[in-house]
Amino acid sequence: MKKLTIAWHITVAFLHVLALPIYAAKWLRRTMDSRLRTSALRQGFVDCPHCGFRNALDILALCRRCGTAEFGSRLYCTTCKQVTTAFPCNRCTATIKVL
Amino acid sequence: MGRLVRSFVASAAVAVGRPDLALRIGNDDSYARALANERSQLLTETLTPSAAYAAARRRLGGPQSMTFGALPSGDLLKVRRELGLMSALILGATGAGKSRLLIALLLEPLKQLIDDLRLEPTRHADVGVELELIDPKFETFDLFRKYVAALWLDANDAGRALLERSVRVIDWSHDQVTPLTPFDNHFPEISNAYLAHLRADVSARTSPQTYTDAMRQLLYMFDWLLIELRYPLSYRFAVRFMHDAAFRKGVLTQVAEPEVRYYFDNFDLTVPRQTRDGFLRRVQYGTSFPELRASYIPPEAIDKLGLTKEAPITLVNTACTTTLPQALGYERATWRATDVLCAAPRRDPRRPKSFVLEEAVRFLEDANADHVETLLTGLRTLRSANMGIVLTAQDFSNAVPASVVRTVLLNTTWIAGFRAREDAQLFWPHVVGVPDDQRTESAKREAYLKEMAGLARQRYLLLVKGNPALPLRAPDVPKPSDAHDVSEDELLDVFNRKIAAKSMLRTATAMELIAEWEARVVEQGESRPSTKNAPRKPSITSLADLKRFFTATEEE
Repeated sequence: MKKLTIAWHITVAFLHVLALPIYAAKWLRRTMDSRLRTSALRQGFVDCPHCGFRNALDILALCRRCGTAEFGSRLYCTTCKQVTTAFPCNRCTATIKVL
Repeated sequence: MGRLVRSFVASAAVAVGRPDLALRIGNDDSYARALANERSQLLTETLTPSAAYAAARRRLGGPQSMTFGALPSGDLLKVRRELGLMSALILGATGAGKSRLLIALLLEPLKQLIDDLRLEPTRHADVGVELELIDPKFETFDLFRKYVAALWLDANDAGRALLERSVRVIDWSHDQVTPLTPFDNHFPEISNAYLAHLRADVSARTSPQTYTDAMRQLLYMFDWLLIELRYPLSYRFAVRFMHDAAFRKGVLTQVAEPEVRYYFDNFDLTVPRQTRDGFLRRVQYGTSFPELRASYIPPEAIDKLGLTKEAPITLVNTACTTTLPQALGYERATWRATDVLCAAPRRDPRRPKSFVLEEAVRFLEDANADHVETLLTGLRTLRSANMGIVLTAQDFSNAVPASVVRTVLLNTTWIAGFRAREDAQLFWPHVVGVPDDQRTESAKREAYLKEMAGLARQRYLLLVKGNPALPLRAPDVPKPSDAHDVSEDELLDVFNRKIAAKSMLRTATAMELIAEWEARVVEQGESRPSTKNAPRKPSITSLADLKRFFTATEEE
């Protein structure tokens, strides 16, 4: 019985080792993708894909959940930790997805 | 180097589904950039009025917008519907344009719907925005009904059918009346006792006559009795009930509520004769006007008439006219407003509703009244039921108690200020001044107040919370008769025949129904049909019984 358990653990560990390069490659790819997406966060603005208006991401932001008003990113509230992935364009009001 | 690492870590955090970590890492940069952004806006935009107005215009726009008017630049100010239908206050002197603005705002979605139906008649359409308009001064009610009639003339068959089923009128005129059932409890969660309290409180506060404690108690118990019995208010019933002990005893056998039975069982001992007579005088005054008496139709008779009882658009006229004394009009307006507010929490929140109360000063002047508390609670809470309350008033700051003013201002999303003096002060902190104006603050303020006191018709300031006060010119509302080249009398005729007739009945018919009820219940003392006391027909148990049954029928 004990031998069977040990053999099972060894098999699972072996499978993990086999899967590791695949997961590592996948994770690396996702990181590169998200690097492109987070470029807006680094730059601090995002251009509306519909009307081309340049929307600032860092403003005097008002959290829609807890109502906190603070200078910082409009996508994140430091009080209630709410993350907003999209916001309406300041000119055309179409939703812009950032994250 | 550190920047590169941080950027890579942020990307990795987003990749593993933790964008909050990425945002937290860049928090310091965001703060600095946000400060810089806001400062640059302060320096460049908000100092000039035109830039401030343009920015506000951008912020207020959105889907299904409502046109509030034109800015000094000529640009139309469109406010997204979600914001435009929130609770609001419209202030200004008579003739300044309050009613026209209201009409423009309320009619726009209806007009749009009728136009859509003209293009696509087969689509299922329903009124997108519900409306309840209570007008104690007639003007808005009159204008609105004429515009509805003009819309009806303009509409195709589908549009006309929609208007006919969607508009209900509550009015009392010489020829036709809307039945009124204030003593019929159709609220599942309100007890008969509480409804009686609401009705009695309104009657006592709106009446020009004084109500002593004993009289107020009698009014409350009598209202409760009517609610228990589902009886209309009738002077003849009141007289016989209070003076004829045997009749009273017979009526009380039908009352299920022991509290009411006990009070009236000991009526002769507990209520002095003078109080009783005084009370009867008040009932007589309230029901002596023919149009008013005609509206108190027995609820059971109304059930059979098939009139529209509720509709998405309800227009209520409680103006002091040749048929309705001011106090009684105010009483009816308050009853209706209380009903709307009590029903609001149960409404379907998917469809927005606008509850417009014209001349709200009279309604709000008594801070201790229950209906004022109900309205203020409604202002605070009815956003969750997707219902906004719009109040229009003159000299609001002076005529209404300070505590009520404060609550109303706190709980309204936008305020429109037409020509006014004292009320103009509400807008002053939000007015955007010209940057190079060298005058002192008090001089600027005085000039502003002077300008507001002499503001031209149709011009107003719009203050939406969180935005500067925007000077606007209200939308043009052409005369309803102009578009169709018909006279106003013709429009009224169309409205009365096609729309009002669905919810009103002829005064003569109403009088007949009341007379019938009074003859049956008051004169003959007939109790409500009770299956318990009805003589049972002999049952048929044999062939002989069957033969007897048929021969008896033939003899009859």
